[in-house]
Amino acid sequence: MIEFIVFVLGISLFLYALLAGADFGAGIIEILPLKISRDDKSRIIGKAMGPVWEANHIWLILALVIVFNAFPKLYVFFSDWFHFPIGAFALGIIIRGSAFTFLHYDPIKDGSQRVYRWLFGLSSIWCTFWIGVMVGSLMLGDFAPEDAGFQKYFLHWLNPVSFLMGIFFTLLSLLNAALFLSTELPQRAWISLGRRIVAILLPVGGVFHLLFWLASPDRWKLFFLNPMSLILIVVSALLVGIQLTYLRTGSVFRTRLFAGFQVGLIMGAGFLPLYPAVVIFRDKTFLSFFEIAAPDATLRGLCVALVIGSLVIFPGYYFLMKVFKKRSPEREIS
Amino acid sequence: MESLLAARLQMAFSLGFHIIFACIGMVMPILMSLAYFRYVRHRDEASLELTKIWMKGVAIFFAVGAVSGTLLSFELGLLWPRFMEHAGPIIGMPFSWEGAAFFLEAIALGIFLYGFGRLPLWIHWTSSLVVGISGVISGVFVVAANAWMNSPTGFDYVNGEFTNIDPWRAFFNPAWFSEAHHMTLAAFTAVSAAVLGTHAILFLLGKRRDLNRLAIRVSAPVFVISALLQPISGDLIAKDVAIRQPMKLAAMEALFETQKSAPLLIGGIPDQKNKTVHFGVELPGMLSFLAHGSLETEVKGLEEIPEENWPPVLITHIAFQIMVGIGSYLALVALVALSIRWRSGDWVEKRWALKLYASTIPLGFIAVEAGWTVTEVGRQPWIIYEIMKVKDAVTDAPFLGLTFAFYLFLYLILFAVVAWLFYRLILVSFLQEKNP
Repeated sequence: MIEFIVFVLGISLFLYALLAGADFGAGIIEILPLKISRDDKSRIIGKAMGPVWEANHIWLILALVIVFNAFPKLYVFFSDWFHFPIGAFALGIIIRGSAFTFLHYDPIKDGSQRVYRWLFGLSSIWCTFWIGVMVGSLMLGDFAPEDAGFQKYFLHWLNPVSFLMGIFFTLLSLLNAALFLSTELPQRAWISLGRRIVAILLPVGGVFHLLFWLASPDRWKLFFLNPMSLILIVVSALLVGIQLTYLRTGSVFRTRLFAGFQVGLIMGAGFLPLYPAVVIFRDKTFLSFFEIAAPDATLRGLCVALVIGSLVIFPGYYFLMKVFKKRSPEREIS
Repeated sequence: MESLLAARLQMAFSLGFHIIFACIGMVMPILMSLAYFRYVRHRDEASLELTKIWMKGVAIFFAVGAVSGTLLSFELGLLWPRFMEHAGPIIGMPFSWEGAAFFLEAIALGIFLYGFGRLPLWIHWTSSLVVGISGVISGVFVVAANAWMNSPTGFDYVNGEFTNIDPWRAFFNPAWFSEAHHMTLAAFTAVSAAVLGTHAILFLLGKRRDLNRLAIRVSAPVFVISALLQPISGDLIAKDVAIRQPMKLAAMEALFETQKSAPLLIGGIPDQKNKTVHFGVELPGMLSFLAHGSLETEVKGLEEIPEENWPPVLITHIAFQIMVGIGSYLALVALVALSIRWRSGDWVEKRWALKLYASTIPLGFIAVEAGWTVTEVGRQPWIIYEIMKVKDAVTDAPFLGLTFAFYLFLYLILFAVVAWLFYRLILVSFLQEKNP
């Protein structure tokens, strides 16, 4: 039962990373100079993200609900130790969600759109940055159950490794969006964008590894020198070659499918070295899914909700995508 | 600012902000679906135009409601980690069902927004109905969690530990039914009153009378039904509170002493320090009658419990008076509207009646906010009634006052922008002259 719930939690987080990641990246693209007119860019992004963007973020709500139902101690750990990064991230979620809606549903087109667009773009950077900071801090693991005050609320994430991970995550989501929009954006625009992202991503990744290794060699080895992570990272790198082929042939479905595989592999490489632990403290004690799970009655109830919910949600989601791909004789209202 | 106060204020403002958008997200799709139903049946272009105008409003309000709801699911842990640690496994289930219903609502809304011309009309209309129904269901589910805080069941509390957890019993707790129907009707009353009043003003201005007449025809029956049912629902929930949370009722009525033939207090300013009420009008025996069905029955006063466990009497009483006063006024307006419809065959025959409808625009929402104030402040000092105090659940994170100030600023800005956007939607849809 616990394995099933962890599996659904993993799927929710994977879909959030993939779909909302592309969504965040698309927000950043809104404010980046590209070889395409601003209105065309906005139209393309609105069209690609419009029908699914609300649903994208519900994967996060699902993950949250699973965690506080089934693993309340984990929920409390995140709420306590990551109080400020989560608060900052939530703030960004509010601003970007509102700005996206205002951008596409304000019936009067005037100077307001420029403000909405910048708010949408900047809050997208803000959100991905804070997700990365939290991931970086979790990898570094500079926290202990007895922490209090500044150590508990600030010091474990207020460091260069976590901040570099924040920047790295922002760039990754941008790359994800560039792949997601590769068939909608003109080829020269996304190629130039992709090159610029990779040109920054590589040195940022390199410095991240160096600082991480200097700060905590044991932790670095845990994540990057264990066989499982190595295999997943190598396979993910190999997929880039296949993806480039599909990009050249303009195959939307396969390009996005392989982008999804890559996100899954990278997440697996970060998650599997710890499993069944999910958080490892400075003193090597840990929170394990099996030890912090809620009572069986709660888990059973949650499983029922997840199964029934999935039976409704997945066919609905499929139908939504199918409807969206149909050609319309009239323009969408937005 | 003290951390506990800052956390409470931040939660209050977050809920207060979200509840408005949640109500609109629950009811506006139903109204939109009713308008679209007219188009599907009669193929009149005005119904289609109205549906599309309302649809844009739904998209804006739904999105802001969704993101403010996401923030709330974080805030529960950020501000009240000790509460969530214990309550999560017990009461998480309604949240998971609410999540599923909300997910369905988002998907159906996507289908509806992008399904024009892509789906057969009846299927497309069904998607609008699914948006409305799943919105209402998700609201009903999430109310179960609040109801549990007022009537905690589904566990044994032994030596400070929550054991023998039964999430189904917690889900179907005794307060759920009464809170659910009262909140659902409140949402329907508030939103339909606001829609009715807005279109009444636009009708009076003489712009797009065809569309506004239609909007009034769609929203008025919903308003009349919900506003007339709400006092019955209020009576049921008051009787329920009298049994389950007698001290909340005592605070609502500023009843300091236990009394037989207890009076119903109209108005008045409670003085908690001196345990008295200034300027109130008392109707002898009526509280006993309304709470327990007999003019003689004893009603417990606040003196029954230590003063440290009293809810803030002034806030609870005033909020209760506002809620009941507005609910009564709206029921009266509903009766007037019904009589006009009965006599003249239409809702818009009398100009004074249209002005009356216009007066209701903000009232339903004020009543909703007041009602939630009664529920939440009236439960103080408990976060889980008679089990865990609010002060024991709060986070020890620093700078909560600063965080609260920041969120308050954000909510005010967001509220202003949504209001401005709403004005622009009305401007484009109704007030600007259309080109021939």
